[in-house]
Amino acid sequence: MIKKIIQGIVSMDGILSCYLVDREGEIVEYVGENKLDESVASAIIASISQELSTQMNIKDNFSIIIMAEENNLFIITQSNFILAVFTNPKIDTGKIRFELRKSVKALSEEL
Amino acid sequence: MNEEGLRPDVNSLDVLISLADLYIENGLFDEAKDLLKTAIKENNEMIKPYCKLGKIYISQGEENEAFAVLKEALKISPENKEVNKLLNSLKVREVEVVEEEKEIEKTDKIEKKKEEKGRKKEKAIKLEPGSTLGEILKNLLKIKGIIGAIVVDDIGALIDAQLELPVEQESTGAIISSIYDKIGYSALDLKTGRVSKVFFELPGGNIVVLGSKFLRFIVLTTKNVLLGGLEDIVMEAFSKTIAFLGVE
Repeated sequence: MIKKIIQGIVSMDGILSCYLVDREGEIVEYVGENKLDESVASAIIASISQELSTQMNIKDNFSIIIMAEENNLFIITQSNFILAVFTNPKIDTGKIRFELRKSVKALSEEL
Repeated sequence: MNEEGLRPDVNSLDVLISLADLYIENGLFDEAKDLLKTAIKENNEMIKPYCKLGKIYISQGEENEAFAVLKEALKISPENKEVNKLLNSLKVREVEVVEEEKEIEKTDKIEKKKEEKGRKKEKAIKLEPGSTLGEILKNLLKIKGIIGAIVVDDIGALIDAQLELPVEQESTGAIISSIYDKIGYSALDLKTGRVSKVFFELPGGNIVVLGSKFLRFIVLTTKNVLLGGLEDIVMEAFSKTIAFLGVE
């Protein structure tokens, strides 16, 4: 079921890859194109989430949207997992956020 | 000397032409024209007054009038060399004028485009007269949902801030800047390219950070604000800040 949810996310227009990782950066599920080793990518994603959590003293339920030259990166941090999605830079941000919220809810029920 | 005084000699074409020449020499072109028109009226089969009148019109830039009078002359003597020569010179001039106008139009279009481009650029970074960085940030705070704006440099040192929250400006700016930088380095590792904007959606509110080489522009908002709706406003304030500080 988890794999199906992740596949559903990646099937959306403009989404390149999707990572489900635990709060320590271990990969739970991954679907999509590879620019670098997925275990390295998942560790970096977790470290970004950890940085915000530590510096701002926020445990969970936050998200970060990073807009960069080549790709955008959406990171949603929950108490027991992190969902990260790489998109192309011209994607409709609002639509993705909306879909990711639904997917996060579904994943929370599964994990 | 007046035209009325010449009336007794109107049938003498040579006299009329000579007098017209005299008017022309003395800069009395309107009088010369009237005299030549009279000559044409009285001697409408003779080409000479048509040519003379045509030349005056040409010299004064009245090309339509010249064309009309020379066409009349052509009806009388289609092969007349002088008439054809004058008409050809008018046609050449007409082509030149059209080309000239086209060239002017082209130049105008280029200039207009340049001006428009300049205006757009100016608009993007236009500062109100006497505006300071503090005022740029204060104006942002007038927008519903924005509760703070902080500008720090590339090492997180405070440049200016306007906050409606009881938080310490310097440390807040430094912390957010360091998170932004950490994300910037991580993004390079993730091969997403250089980061330009980061949105943080946090339980207590949102943060938008725009970054340039030397600046971090931080905007704090309430939780329920529409980030998409603020993007252009924040971008404009960021451009103004860059222009005000004169940095990249």
